Amino acid sequence: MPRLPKIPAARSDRPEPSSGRGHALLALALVLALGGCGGEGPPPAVPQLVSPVGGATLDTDTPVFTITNARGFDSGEASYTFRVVVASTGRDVASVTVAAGPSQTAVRFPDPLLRGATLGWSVVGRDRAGSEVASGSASFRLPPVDCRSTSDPYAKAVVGFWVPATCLAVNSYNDPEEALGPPDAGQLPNNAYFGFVSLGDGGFVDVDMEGCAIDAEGADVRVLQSVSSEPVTLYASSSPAGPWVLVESRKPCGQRNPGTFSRRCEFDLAAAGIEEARYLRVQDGELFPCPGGTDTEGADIDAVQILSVKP
Amino acid sequence: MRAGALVLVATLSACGSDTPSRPTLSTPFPPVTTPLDGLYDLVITPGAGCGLPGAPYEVSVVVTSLAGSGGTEMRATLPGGDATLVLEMVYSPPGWLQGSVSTRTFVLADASNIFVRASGSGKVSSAAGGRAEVESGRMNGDVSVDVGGGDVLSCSSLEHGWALRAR
Repeated sequence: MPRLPKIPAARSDRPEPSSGRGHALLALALVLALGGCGGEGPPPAVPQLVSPVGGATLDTDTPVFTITNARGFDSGEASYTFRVVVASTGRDVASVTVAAGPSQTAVRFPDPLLRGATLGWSVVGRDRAGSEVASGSASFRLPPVDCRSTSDPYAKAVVGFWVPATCLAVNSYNDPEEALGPPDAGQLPNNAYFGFVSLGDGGFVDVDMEGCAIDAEGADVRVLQSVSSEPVTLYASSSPAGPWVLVESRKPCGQRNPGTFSRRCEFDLAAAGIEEARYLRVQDGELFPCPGGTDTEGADIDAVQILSVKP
Repeated sequence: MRAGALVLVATLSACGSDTPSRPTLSTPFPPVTTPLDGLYDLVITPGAGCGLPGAPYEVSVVVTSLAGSGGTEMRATLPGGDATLVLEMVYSPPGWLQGSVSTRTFVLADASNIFVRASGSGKVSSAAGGRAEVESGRMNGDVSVDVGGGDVLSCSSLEHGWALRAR
């Protein structure tokens, strides 16, 4: 409901000449005619995005998002889910659900959002009966990615790692640090391998490239993968804690790479609508349940390389 | 007359304030950190445009949660520990599951034989009886269905849906 201005002089429990009451009513009428403070009017049929306004460039990773509630979707009546996506591709970045506030609803996401891409945001209101009402969308940007200057294109540090316990139990190559540095995997005379980490069924390793990959012409990131041609899925982020945005899913990773034991697959940041990224999540894309009868279950990651290093 | 003028001035000056009121920040609903455990229905809904017959596909699974390399994780198999179909997922961040759904061979889901190789994520929510479930998640990868006569229809999508509904 619109908030009307208080008019203390018009209280009926205060003795007042009739002419004063008349002026108070005149003032009230004037304010109502002007539409109330700040252009307030009746609640809109769908939620209206208030801030950030479309096209804004923000100076924080955790902006406050504010909407004007839709009619019938106000405080005590509804909840709102705020969704942030990469604007050009619709790839998910983050979402959060809150109870509707009075007239307007405002929220700050609990975690930083994504830098290095133009983002879009929108909301969906849901009332107690399950009816939904959706807003339009608006775009915005965060500050640039914090990229270190480097000419070394390979991964520098592991910032996250998960392999299902059932896969860790059967795999022999469980050190995520093997994904760092230039490709160095190989095979010993006894047929044992060295120099890679096996990711099991859907496992992943998150690496800090320190420098940034930028979206240039063609592929921007190369993954060196050993043993066979297991597919790989790549995500990108501007922060070690995410949000992780899908770049490309289940790319076959068996192209021969001259001079290395490992094979390769390549990824284009443009597929995700990301312009630059410092952190990469390399996920197994073979997706075969463990145990699978080998000690190298899942994609076997030797190295992660930026092909388009930000100068 | 004076009272009316006062009202008008007060009202208009309030409207012209340089410090517009800011709405109070709403607090996000807290994550549901109860681990999934027990019998569930895995529901797989192929992405829009897949047009696979017989969808959505529903199959009973048994979920266990355990400590893993990346924190608490969950594993789901067909009843009896049958790992023909497996979900491997980690709770990261708390209240959020991410990982994979995969099958070794075709698996009977209701009246359809399906084959799945997909990874994704979903938010944990509360279910009846103090249990937890995933109402609606998304995953990317491949869903295939055996349509008989030796024919298989497959669909690759970034927006397959999945759910784990408590039974």
